[in-house]
Amino acid sequence: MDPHFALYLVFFVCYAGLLALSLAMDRHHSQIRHGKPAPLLRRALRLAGWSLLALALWLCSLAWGWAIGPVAWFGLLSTAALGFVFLLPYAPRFAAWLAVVGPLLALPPFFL
Amino acid sequence: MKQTLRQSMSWLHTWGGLWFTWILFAIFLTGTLGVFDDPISHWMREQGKIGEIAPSTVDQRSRAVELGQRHLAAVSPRADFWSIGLPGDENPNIRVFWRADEDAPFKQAQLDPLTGAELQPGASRETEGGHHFVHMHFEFHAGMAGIWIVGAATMAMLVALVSGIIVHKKIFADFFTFRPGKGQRSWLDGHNALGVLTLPFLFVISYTGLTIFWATYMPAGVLARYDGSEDAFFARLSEEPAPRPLQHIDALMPELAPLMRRGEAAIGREASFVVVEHAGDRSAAVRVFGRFDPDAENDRLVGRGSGSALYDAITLETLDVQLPNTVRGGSVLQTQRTMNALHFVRFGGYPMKWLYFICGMAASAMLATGAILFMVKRRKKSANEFGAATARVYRGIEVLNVAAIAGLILACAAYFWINRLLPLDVAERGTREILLFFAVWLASLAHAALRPSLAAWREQLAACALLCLGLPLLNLATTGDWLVAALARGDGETAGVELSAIGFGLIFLAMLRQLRRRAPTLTVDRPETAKTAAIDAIGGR
Repeated sequence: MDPHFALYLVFFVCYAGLLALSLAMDRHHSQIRHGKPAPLLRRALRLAGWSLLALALWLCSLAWGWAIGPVAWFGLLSTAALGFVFLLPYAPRFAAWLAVVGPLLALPPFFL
Repeated sequence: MKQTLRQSMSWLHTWGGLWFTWILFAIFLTGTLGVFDDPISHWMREQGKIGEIAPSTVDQRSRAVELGQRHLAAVSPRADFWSIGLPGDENPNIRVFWRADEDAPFKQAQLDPLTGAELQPGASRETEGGHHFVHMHFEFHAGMAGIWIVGAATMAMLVALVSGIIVHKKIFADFFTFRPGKGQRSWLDGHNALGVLTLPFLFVISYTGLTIFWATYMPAGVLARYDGSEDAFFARLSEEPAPRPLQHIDALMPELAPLMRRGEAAIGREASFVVVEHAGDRSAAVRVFGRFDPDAENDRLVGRGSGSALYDAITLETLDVQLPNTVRGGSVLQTQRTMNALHFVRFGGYPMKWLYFICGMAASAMLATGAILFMVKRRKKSANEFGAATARVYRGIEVLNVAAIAGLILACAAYFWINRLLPLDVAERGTREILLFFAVWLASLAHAALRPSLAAWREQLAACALLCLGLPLLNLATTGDWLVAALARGDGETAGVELSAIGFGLIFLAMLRQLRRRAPTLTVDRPETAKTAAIDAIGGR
């Protein structure tokens, strides 16, 4: 995998994972949607969140190998979290949609 | 008085953090800029304009070594140290360095690669470039004393990290929490979020920063076992020939160019430097260093060396050959080298550098918010820690906050301006640039001391914004090179520096806007309350 593409892709996988984990928390769930998450949804969000973070680690290992992959994973996790946390209070809905829009923006180059 | 663990840790975090935060901010900010030392040097030396430098041939390199040797033999025939830097991507000239004896200062000159004539100052933009930030980062340009100061501050950083985690009441519940526009609350949220979210980076960078200088910080073992000779210790550890003492017998130096060719053949790489120890002495040895290849084995953390070959200069016998991308010294040294690599981001190319850069900037912001939070808290309600002197101490802390945070940023931005504005033909130009950098920093301290806090913050941030946003224009005005031209020729290093400057300039503008919006208008009838309110508003309300 091209490291620049991996950088972009893994960033958004981490971002989506963190978004899912935050949606499982009452405070942030009410920020983005309304009210509290139902217990089943909460569990699903947690599972999805941790799975995405694990997926991100695996993608990092594909792009950089196991020596550098984990370093990249930590770095991308931190940068995605910084982006998410400091965007959330200003534009909560956009912060959520970014998890969908971001990866889509990576598609056009494939059709050029 | 009996205290809980959290209370005593809180005390430690507050005061231990405060007294070191100014030094730490300087270490983190300059270190973060130092991640991109090469692109910064590239910009400062106007290398974008030179364009692609064609790869050199063996004959060109041999010729460069000959010319370098001729110059060195003329200026310092008997020397402790000679070094010939061959023309390469980063510099098309021959660079020679020498030192007459161990106590003499290093001297250097640049030679024309074709004629060997010494290039006079003014022929090129002589500068330390991005290395200035790297040297600020680990020693403040203060040599051994600086290394110890940075070491002490780094220990304080680790203490602050651990105590900070203990003090933080709800790391997981508040993991994604940032509540802007709530004054002190927002500063604490920001400080916490920046710290917690970059915690892996913070621990790794602080700890590996200390282990780089382990031999300096913990010298007892080496001192006891190797008669205080670090060189002897490292030679033994890395299975190299022991350092050769001076024999004080004159000896004729051989032609270095054939040795360079032998070295290149032995390590299988182009030479980048040819170094002679004890030139003109019977104990002289020649070391040929390979050129670093950033793309070779880029997926490895450790042992990405350029290779070197060592020869006896008199008998021409091969003393040692170290191939590129090999490590010696057993698992302990390999572990330490791995930590060095982690610290220096010597792997993964630009993607990794950017991740380090962003995390480093977040860490700097974490330190800045911590220092500001200390005062935001006390502006609201004085804690009276210093009795009658409290107000004066607070004022001192406030002044240091402005100078250490906004002032340093200003000095860093000004360094780029100094590079373009200082005439090319001044003597010791590189050193002059750094002196002016410190002069700007000192001026920012004086300014902070003379102005009310809010005004000082605002004016220095405005100056930062101006310098950053104006940088591309300055480059256009002084060198005729500009952003669009750099982008058009695919010169990402030049364009990257200027685009980053614009980005930072916009961030400072946003901060200024925030300051203005939060600060209530000063009213004439109650200037005092309005002033405190305005100062308080730095923290937002």
